Amino acid sequence: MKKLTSLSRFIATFLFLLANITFAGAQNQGYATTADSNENLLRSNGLIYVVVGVIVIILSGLILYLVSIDRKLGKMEKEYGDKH
Amino acid sequence: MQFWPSVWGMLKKDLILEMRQKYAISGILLYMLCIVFIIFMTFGQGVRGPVWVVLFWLIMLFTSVNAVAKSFLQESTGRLLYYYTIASPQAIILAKMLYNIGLMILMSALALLMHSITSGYPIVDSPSFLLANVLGAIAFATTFSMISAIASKASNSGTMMAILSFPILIPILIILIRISLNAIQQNNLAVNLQDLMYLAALDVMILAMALILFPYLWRD
Amino acid sequence: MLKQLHNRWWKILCVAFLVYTFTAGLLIHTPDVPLLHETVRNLFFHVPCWFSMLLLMLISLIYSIKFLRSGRMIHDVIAVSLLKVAMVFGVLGYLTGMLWGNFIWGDLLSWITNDTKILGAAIGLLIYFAYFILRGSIDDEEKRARVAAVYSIFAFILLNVSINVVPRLTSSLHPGSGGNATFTVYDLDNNLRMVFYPAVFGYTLLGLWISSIIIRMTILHYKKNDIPLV
Repeated sequence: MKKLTSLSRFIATFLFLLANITFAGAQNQGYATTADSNENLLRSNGLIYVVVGVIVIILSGLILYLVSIDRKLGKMEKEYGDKH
Repeated sequence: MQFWPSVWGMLKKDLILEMRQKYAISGILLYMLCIVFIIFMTFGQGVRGPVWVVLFWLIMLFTSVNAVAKSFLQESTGRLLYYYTIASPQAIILAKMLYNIGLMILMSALALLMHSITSGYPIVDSPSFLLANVLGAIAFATTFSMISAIASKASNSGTMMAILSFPILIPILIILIRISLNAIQQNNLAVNLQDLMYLAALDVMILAMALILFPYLWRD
Repeated sequence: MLKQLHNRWWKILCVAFLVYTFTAGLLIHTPDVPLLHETVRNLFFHVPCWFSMLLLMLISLIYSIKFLRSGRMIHDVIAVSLLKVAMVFGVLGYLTGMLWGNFIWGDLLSWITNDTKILGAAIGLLIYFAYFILRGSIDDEEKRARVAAVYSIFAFILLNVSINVVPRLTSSLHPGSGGNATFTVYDLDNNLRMVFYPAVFGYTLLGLWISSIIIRMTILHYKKNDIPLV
């Protein structure tokens, strides 16, 4: 159980960072050059990092969901007092 | 009992009940008056264009959720059980819907009157706006009747009513607002004809779905 | 479907499709579309979220109807589990769409107001949040299942008709409406299609897989609490 909470905390932190980058982009609209370093990183190489971001969001979302199912199952196992 | 006589009987019962307990309808009227008064105090005579339209439909939305919500929420389980023994479920929901349609058309006429007195009447294309009003009233009445039947099965039905119905009504409200926005710009019924027809089709569809689905709700 | 829950072949198929999606999706040559550039690849990762969400919701709708006709609790269990996973895909589709749209359209949220597909997705998610609140507020299992099924059918059909059938509800930045020229490349390039369809298939199978786990858990829970599944 303890392992799980630390894992989800890690994922939450990661998502927070990701959101930071996303919103940092939102502040300067348009596609032109800006001095913001986040902007330049995400806009480099034909916007490939946006694709990376999308994949990471999907993966972390699914993993978070699996963790929540895992917890629910753990609770059920505890409740019924046996392991299936 | 036969289908149509039982519909008529239920309808008459609702009417008589409404006449007897006047506080319900006067409560809704007071509610509407309050909104209109707040709008008047805020904007004065200066409500024009899109703001007028949006405020009007907001008045309609919140009035109708209050007016129609009670249609099933007010009935005690004992009384509902009695209805089910004397009439078919389709007759019950149809009677409720017809009654609420009448109520909503009356309400929209009153809302239009109050809103026009305080904020003016900027509509150029009255026929399409009034038609949209009638069709919108039907859509609100039928949807809220059905949702009220669903919400009456849940605990804390009052809030449930808003949660369940507002998302469904957003697209219909968008169509209504679009028609109204056209109606304040130009006097041309043809522009809105397609939207009005879609609204009518939606009304028929909601009615049909309610008639099909309601029988599954009442069995307890 | 119940018999397939414990089968292995479709899970292997799912993994194969997903591996193919994530390797080929990143490696194949994509046409350089102005404005989009490499983000065309999001067609393989973002769009299948929506497609699989819609497919899962459709299957759930079928099971809701089945439940109303048969009254067997197992159909309700299937319908709910599918919806839970569909919601997860919907939220993921939203998040990824926000990231993508932020860089292509230059804004995070303002395009909700002028895009039918996003509006429809937003309302759809709201409806199913309401659905789960409704379920939470009814205690009796059988009654809960019945009322929720009625709401689900009513809301889903009404939403889809009013959003998708009514034309020009609002313009759309998405392909297929609003005359957005940059997206017509989707229809032209067979390379993209070669990855896109397997991607949709893989995502949907993954959704079915996750919901099958939830279904099995719920069945276990019902059995332990002596709630008849029939």
